[in-house]
Amino acid sequence: MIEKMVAILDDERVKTNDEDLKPYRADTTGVKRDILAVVYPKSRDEVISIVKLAHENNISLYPVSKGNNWGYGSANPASDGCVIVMLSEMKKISGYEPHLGLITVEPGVTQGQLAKFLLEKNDKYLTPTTGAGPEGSILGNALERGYGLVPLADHFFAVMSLEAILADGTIYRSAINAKGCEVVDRVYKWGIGPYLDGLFSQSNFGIVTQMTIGLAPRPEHVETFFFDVASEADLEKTVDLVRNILIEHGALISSIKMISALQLLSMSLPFPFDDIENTSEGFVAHLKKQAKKAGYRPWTCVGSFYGQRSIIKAAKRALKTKIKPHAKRVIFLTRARVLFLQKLLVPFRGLIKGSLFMQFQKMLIPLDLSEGRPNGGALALCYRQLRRGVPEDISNLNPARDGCGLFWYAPLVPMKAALVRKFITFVEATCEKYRIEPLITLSSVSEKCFDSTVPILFDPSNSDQTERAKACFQELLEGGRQLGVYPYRAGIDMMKDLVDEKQPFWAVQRLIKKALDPKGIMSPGRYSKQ
Amino acid sequence: MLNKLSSAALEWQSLLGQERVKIQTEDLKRYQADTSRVERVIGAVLLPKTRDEVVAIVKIAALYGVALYPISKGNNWGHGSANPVMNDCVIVDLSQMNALSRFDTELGIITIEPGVTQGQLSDFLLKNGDFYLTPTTSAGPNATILGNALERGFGLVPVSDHFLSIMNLEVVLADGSVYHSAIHAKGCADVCDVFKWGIGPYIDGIFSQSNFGIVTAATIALKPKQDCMEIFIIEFIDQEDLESAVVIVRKILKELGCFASAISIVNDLRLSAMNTNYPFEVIKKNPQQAKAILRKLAQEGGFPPWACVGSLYAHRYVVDAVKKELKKLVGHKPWKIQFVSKAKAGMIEAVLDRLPKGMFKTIRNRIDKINMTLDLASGRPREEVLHICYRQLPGGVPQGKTLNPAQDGCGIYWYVPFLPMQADIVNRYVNFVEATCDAYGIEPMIVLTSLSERCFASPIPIVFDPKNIDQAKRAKDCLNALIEGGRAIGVYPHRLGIEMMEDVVEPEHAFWAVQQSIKDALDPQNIMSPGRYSR
Repeated sequence: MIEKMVAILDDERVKTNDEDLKPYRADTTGVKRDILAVVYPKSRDEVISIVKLAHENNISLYPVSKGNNWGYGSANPASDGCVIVMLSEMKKISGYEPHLGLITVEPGVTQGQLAKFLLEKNDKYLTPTTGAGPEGSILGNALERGYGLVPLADHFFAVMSLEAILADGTIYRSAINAKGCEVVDRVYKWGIGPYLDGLFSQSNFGIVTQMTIGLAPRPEHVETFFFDVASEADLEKTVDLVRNILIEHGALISSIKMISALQLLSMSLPFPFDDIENTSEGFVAHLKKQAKKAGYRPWTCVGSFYGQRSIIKAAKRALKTKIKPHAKRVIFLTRARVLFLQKLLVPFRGLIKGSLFMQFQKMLIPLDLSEGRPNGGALALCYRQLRRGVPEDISNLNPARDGCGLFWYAPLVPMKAALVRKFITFVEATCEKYRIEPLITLSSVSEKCFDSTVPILFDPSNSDQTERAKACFQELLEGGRQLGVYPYRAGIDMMKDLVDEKQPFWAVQRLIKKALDPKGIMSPGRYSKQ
Repeated sequence: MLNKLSSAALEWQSLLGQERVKIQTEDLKRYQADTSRVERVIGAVLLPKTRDEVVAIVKIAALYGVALYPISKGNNWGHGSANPVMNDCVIVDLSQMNALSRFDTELGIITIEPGVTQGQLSDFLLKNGDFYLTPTTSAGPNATILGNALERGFGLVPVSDHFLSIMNLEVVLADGSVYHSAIHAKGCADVCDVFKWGIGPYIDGIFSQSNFGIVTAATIALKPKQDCMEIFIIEFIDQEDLESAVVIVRKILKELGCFASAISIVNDLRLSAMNTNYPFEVIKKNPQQAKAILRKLAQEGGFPPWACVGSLYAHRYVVDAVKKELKKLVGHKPWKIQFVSKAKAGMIEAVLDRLPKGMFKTIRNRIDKINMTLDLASGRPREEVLHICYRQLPGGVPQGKTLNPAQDGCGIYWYVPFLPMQADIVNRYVNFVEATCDAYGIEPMIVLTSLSERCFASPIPIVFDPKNIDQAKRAKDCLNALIEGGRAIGVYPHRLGIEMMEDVVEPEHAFWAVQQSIKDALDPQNIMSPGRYSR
């Protein structure tokens, strides 16, 4: 079988050596998978040949775009014994439509690559940017229904059309495409007839080899706002406030994040390894005290306005009025203002505390992200529990390769104040129990729903902490479910928990799987029993 | 067949009672009515009241191998009304399942059954605080919300993509099992109500425009009302301004889209048709010159060759800034842009009320239309949107009764292609539609409604009098010519009538192979809506 693969792809692009497979086994969740081989197709036709070969020989394939699915299994397959189909060499960008804001990408196209491409095309559109950094794949993130930091944040919603290779080697395209109306296919998501494209997201029905996505236009002006609330008791009021701001000004705001004090602390100060060992108070209480000392209030809300300068000016006034009864002040930041303040500070560099200067340097990282300029700054968080800290060169961070420990627990939480309170209390209590930092952020997905991201960080070389992290994740998942919240995507070790074939949903999923891939060669076990 | 049907009917009768199983020719007639000359043989009509009854109906159908055809209310005018795609189906009329539940005032979500209509939802929302917009369409107050959303209809207020606003579905499958999303299966029903995609493969979507099951409930997301709502109208001067209109609409949607609903570009003949009756007499004398006569009439009525109509929704602090930006986008061309709010329309009306009734007839008429548009834009469905269906009937719109174009003997086909928002393609398309309508003697009433900043849907009503055999034939030929010719220039309908299903399915193509294997897997006996978006 491997020889036949070599015949299709040549030696260079079929790896079976232990040494070559090692990077693919690296992960932040400590999973261990047997990987048969890694193959690197360069074109759709090569993917088809690989699939046909696998089909004839009953070999399981596991496609990955870049394998940077950190916190969810990285490049590792859901089941043992797969051949990884690494699509990173398929990185063509095509079909850019300057008027319509459309672009077609292959699986290997990264945020960084697309950002560069769009910049060269007069910078008219925003790159769908996430915290995963410039090396994250656009297509992989969209298929996993990832969320971003700029307008059109629902990356799966932005998928207008896609092309997938099915288990028998046929090429799936939409019904409109079958009618020869390719332009129409690219401008309208649902097409005609049953909406089947959606079956290829979070699933194992085929290998998506390209997709057309819609892009949000780069607005005239971007301005970020911050406000914080003084007391933990204000959580409910803050949730209501955030929802009301989104209802009234959602047209200008992509998302509002409610960031906990501990999350903010983690972004500015290293983990207090030694203090926390010796503290007599609770784990979470100790961290909260530290956050308070550093000046962080329990919740900081952050969002950005996107639009015309004149409209944002009016909206700022409205926002100030709205927030006034709840928070002392609202801070507005633009890139120009930060750069100006930085310049202002330069002459006093020696006089002021280093950390303040650094704070201003760091401010550009989230601003860049909110303007659709991907950077790896957000990845530094993954290194928090490593005593050696973040590598000097932050331009090429890879948490899996660098031995970080991370599970993402990212449940959807309806935007109801009482439920959010219950959820926060539950997460903090669970984290306390397992001595894991509760780094909670609530990001609005709409004016109806938050997605809460809770990174569970640990040092994989510390086996006790690793066990605690795993147990903590399991308890969050199950306890959260009992509260009525559940993640929007699953890591490879969570699939078993998710799939319940007694339920009609999974019965339908299984029937579709059997119909499209009777031999089960496509990503066995991924959002699926088989 | 007959034997199976009568055996099944007996069981259905004991399930639902005699009065909710219709088998008399007289009772079935209502379901056979259509706005075309289509004729379908219908086995029976069942009227369940609950999901459990639907489950039992499906199990009986499976036992006897009788095909079912679910309809929400059967008001799919222009696409086949209540008629099944294939003969001999048993219609499952879900109109008696019309409960509203799980309304959450804070979150703006509501669960509806198939029979819930625009009018019903609108009344409900009005009574419950008037915080949210009802998804209104041009099908009027008696059309259902769910049927329209599953057919991926679009409307006049945000969220105008009605399928997008479906958060989750409950579906009865061919084996009688009840499908819910994966998160629902985990016991987190509240999450399903606020997040469309759920977890795992996005399967909900396969129940739109398809025949894989009977949807018995859905939760939809509602858009909150804003303090300020105004409609805007941009009038263009020349026929050639169409390309500029497309560019302007795209710009507005790209830069101010979050404040605007769908924007429509409407031609003179459509505007004129909304305001004046069809000039039967004049055209009878000179049928060759029909289009020229209609165009002249439109001109005399003061209707511009093209107009853009849209609505803005904004917070009171920002509305002026938004309007200013909008004016800036339209530019300093001689095109007129007007904003009308409810208050402004009310003022004009008050002035007119003081004047003698006979005066300013045109203005009065226009104010009526503007009021209708304002109502629709604020989520109040209006029956007048259906008047277009009656345009070719010599008797006109019947007075003093609830309108139902199929029952009232109207003739209409909807040709609704979607097309990229590109000036050259739109131009080519409009010329093609005008020429084709001309060739078949059909009035080309053209509208382009934005579905996004990338895409228009273009609902073209092909209106005729079904009693006029020649005209009816021309209308059907015109529809076929539009679909075929449209396809040749790269556009295709976004939904299809029951007679067009065969046109869309291309069995040798992978999409339809996948569709067929899903169908075989979920409904091996083919008892669910045979032929609907399917072979």
